[in-house]
Amino acid sequence: MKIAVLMRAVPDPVEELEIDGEDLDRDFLGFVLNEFDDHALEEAILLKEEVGGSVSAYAIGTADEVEQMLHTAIAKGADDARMLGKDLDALDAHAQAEAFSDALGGCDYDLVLSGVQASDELDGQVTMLVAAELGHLHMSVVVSVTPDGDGLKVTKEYWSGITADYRVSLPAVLGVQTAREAPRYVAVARIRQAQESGALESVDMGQPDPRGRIHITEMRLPDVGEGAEMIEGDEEVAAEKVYEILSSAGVV
Amino acid sequence: MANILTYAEHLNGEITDASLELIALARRLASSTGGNVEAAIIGPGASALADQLGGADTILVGESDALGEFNPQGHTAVFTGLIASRQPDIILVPYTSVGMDVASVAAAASNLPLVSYCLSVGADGGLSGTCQLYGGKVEVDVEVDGDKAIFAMLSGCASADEGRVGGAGNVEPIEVSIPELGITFLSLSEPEGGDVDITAEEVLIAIGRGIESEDNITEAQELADAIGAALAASRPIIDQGWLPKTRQVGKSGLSVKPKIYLALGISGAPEHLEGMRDSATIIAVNSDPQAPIFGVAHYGWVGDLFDFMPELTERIEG
Amino acid sequence: MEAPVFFAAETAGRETFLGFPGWAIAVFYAMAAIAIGLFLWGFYRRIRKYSRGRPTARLDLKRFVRALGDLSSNRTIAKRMPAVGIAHFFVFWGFIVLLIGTTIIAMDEDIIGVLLGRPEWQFWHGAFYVVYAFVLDIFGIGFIAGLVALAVIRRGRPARLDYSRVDDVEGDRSGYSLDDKAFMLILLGLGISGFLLEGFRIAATNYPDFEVVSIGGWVIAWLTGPLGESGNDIARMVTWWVHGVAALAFVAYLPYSKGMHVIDDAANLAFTEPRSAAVLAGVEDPNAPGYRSLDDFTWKDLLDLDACTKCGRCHEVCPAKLSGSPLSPRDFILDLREHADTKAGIKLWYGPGATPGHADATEVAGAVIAGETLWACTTCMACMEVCPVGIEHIPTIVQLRRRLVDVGDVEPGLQTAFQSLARGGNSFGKSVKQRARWTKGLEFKLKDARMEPVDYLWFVGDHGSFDPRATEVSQAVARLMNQAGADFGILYDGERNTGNDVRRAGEEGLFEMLRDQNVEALESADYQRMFTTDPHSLNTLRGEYPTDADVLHYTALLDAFVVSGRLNLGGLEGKATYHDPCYLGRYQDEYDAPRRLIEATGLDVVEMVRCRENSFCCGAGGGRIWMDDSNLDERPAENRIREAVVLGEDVKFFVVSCPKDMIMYSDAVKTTGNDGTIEVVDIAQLVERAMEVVPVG
Repeated sequence: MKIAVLMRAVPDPVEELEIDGEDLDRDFLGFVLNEFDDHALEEAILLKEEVGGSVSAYAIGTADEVEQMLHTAIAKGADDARMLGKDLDALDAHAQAEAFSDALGGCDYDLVLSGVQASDELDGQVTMLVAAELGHLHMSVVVSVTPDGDGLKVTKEYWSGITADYRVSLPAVLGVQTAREAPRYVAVARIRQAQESGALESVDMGQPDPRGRIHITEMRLPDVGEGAEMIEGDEEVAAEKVYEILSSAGVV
Repeated sequence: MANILTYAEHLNGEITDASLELIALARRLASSTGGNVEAAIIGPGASALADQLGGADTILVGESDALGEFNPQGHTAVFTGLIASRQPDIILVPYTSVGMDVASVAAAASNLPLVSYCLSVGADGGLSGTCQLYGGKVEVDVEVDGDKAIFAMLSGCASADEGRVGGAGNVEPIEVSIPELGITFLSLSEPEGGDVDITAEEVLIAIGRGIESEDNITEAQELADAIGAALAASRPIIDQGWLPKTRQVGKSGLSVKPKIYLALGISGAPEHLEGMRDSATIIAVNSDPQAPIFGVAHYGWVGDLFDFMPELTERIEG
Repeated sequence: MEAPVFFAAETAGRETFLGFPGWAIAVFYAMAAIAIGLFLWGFYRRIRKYSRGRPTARLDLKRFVRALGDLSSNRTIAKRMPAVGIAHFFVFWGFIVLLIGTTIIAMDEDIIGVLLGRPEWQFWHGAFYVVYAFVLDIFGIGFIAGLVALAVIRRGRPARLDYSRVDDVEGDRSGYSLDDKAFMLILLGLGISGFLLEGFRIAATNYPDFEVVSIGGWVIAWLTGPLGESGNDIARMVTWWVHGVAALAFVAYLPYSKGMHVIDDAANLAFTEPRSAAVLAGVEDPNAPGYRSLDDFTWKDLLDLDACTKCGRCHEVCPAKLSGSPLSPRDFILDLREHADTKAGIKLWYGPGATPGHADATEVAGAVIAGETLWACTTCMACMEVCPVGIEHIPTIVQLRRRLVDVGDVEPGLQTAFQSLARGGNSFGKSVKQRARWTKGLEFKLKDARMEPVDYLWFVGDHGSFDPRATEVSQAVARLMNQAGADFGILYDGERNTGNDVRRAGEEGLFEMLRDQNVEALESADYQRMFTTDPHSLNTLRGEYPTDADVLHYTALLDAFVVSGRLNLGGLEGKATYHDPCYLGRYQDEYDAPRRLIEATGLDVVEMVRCRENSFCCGAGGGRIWMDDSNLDERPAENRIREAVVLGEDVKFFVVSCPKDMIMYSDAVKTTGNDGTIEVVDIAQLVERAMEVVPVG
């Protein structure tokens, strides 16, 4: 099975975010692989281990960390990786989808996997937009993908713990929520080896224009604690206050 | 004047609260812009559920057994067809597992802009919205280029009760032309019961990533035992397998409304907030002062939950 | 003046094969040949097993000299077990002397007498013989006394000699006990039969007067007198054969039994490197890091496996084993030995030896030795410190961990830590920028050593930068250094985790990355010396980084300040106990400066039973602090706090000098219910308190 994995760099969730105009201050912002894309990669490699084939990783060069992300994908088992563009500013979801589908087009992938969502997708889900561009079958919030004859058996998660099984023909684009197993660990030494292997291809791409047809007029940090009465003091004070709340609710 | 089309999702014979919220939101927009509200419900049993959508002026029923409970390909195709034939200005889709499959592809097929992670919609001289990004840490105001758009709404954008009007809507069956399906619905599974039903609990202690490792859960359990509460958790804890699926609160888990919801080490991503924001009293403990949970909590404390838990346990045990 | 003459020394001597017909002597020599042949064959098989190991440089004169000292004094055996040490000393020297004695007879009789045919060169008679007889008897008595003493000690069934496994692998170890007993019996048998033989001979040869120096034999001869000359002669001949055959059997069986320790241990002590855990070997082939199979073991590693005499001391001191995890350093070595023997086709006399299921395994990490076992180690080095025969457990464990990491067999908590370290250079999930946040609690600004020159570069360390309990200590140290007028600075966000624990957790690639990042920051800084508040960092900066600068532990620095009067302490009252951190004590041999500091504050130091080199680990090292410990019966830190509390109500302080100790013991005091009984406090914090109390002027 020929599988493509689309990987995106998002701001590290542990970072404290700062606003610069209508965008984040990206000067010292650290980026990490979108965690759902990590699951998509894991699912792709599991499928390859099961039925053979190849896994190709794609990412758009919007952050310094993207190269490392792709090398890590290779170290984990991807056969090759392509970085589209370099030192680009952030792209909106539609522009990303177009960039990805242009890069994928002509390669005849049976399956395209990516994370179900990313924290910056303002104008749509990249995964599903790619499906639309390629004209392939689509499904998101996928928690299991297994081979089933010449197609796939896919499990989709709804709410309240409800899931449904589907049979999906190929080619298809799936938005992965969780892989069947937790993303594997790969030793730093192997990532370094991947760096030296030259399996990463840099594809030239200029800065695409925004295609989402919506624009941000203001970005702000929401007023946290707006509504919440913040307790001041150490853990003893906090415990005492919470105890009060619990007893006046009749719970203790 | 803006006409609004909403997507009504249903599963297992029930229309979701999210869909009803969209009706309520649509009604408000319609009354301020002077348009009408149409709600689309597609799939098996659609006709039977149509009367729950009375808040809409017209209910477009696409009854079909061929699609199974929900079929991303089929439902999206039908909805896209409706957008083309009804030509609404504002399209509202719930940003849920179902909505995700429909929104982006329908937007692309209809060549319409799509506003995601949306909290509120404005139609006053052009379309606008307010959205949440980066796990709820950032809020943005947006304007749409053009006069038609799809909005994917986060739950809590309106009141489901307000949308729960019965009876008056005009039911209109629609032709459902299903494309050749590459996706086939096989079966539905529901999680096993037997474990605690967190939706029935008065007090929930919810743990998130801040708990750091599985063995720390015992401390949280001790606290829960001391209060007589049950443990619940956000998605990352469930994904790791540290607690069963029946304890998951959030978009893909359960919705709870306990008297007390004590959130420990939960950052408060929108997907989690969806599941607990209606709790009577929400108390949040997190070491990150920027954590979005503090935006919905009634009480908050910035600090180390590992200091807090034993302190509270001790205070209760006396 | 003529020396007094007790006896006609010129006639002293004895006939070796007295009364035996030629054919009997021939049989004896034939048996000897077989025995020696078996010995050589077994010996050869062992040496061949070692020779298959990877090369490693351990030939060194200093090591040999030290080993000579160890062997001749038996000091490694006597360490903390004087009774065993003395008993073994007598057994050791007794055996050697008796062996030399036998060699002398062989030289005199067989080589000079028979082979060379030069009876006039034979020397085993006369005054030489008299001295010989006396010395051998004294050492023979000592030999037997030592054996009896050891037997009595073993009879008391000390816990360390319990061979039960600590994991749930099925395995029959009755063979070990059989081997132990056989060894003891055969040696005792040889000793006793030797004396009996001597006694019968003396009685049978009518008490030659020079034999009075053979004290043991003389007494026995006196007792067996009633048997008469011929009676004693028959007894002599029988006992001669018993003793002779037993001796030959011993020689033959030696390489197939516990007896091999005699040779292996001497060799192991001569080649052992006590610092091999402090300064680990790097990865040679990045494509194959760590040990995959036995083929990757060095000859020294293989020798380690055979050197073990199952004394159980490592088993007894290991914090992992004590807390109920499936790791015993002893079992680690023995399991590997059995695997190595199976692979080499070596069979021991008492049974197959191999643990079922491992006989065909090639993969060591995760198969022969379970992953759980390997991950349980805290690298505290108690095992290596106590091992009397110089076995190096830790470097082998790390090599096997490298393999586990390479194949991705890493538990989630550890993965998260590695990922956090790779991104932000710390295990707390914080960004690089936040490293020096802790300095905000200070009233003065710390110098940035990358921007301006400083005398002392302070390497703060991960926990001291991020964990709230440890940052308090960092702040105290900063204030003290400031008060002492020291010129110091830190690297701010140039500092990363030194990688000490990362390396010991087997992630060598990540260690190299952190090291390179730190070295880059260090090279951009201008400083004379370094100090650190973290013993783990101390170890790695000193031994595993390419830096020439002196690296001090902050206690050494504070001690110097007190001695030179830059800091004045005093006025505290009461008692404290000091916990030696593994990486400052065992790893770096620093025990006294912290104690001097505590005493300087006015407190009295009360030692715990397990102190100094025998200190008991808090359980956090080797990456354990990042791993799940929910399966332990009792955390090592809790065990340690209980040990401290036993010292008495008036010991109010548990003094630490390592940030991980501060964290682990603070938690343990709470979880053992000792909050309020004893207070965990860092030396720096004590020193600060002692400074406040000093009256002005």
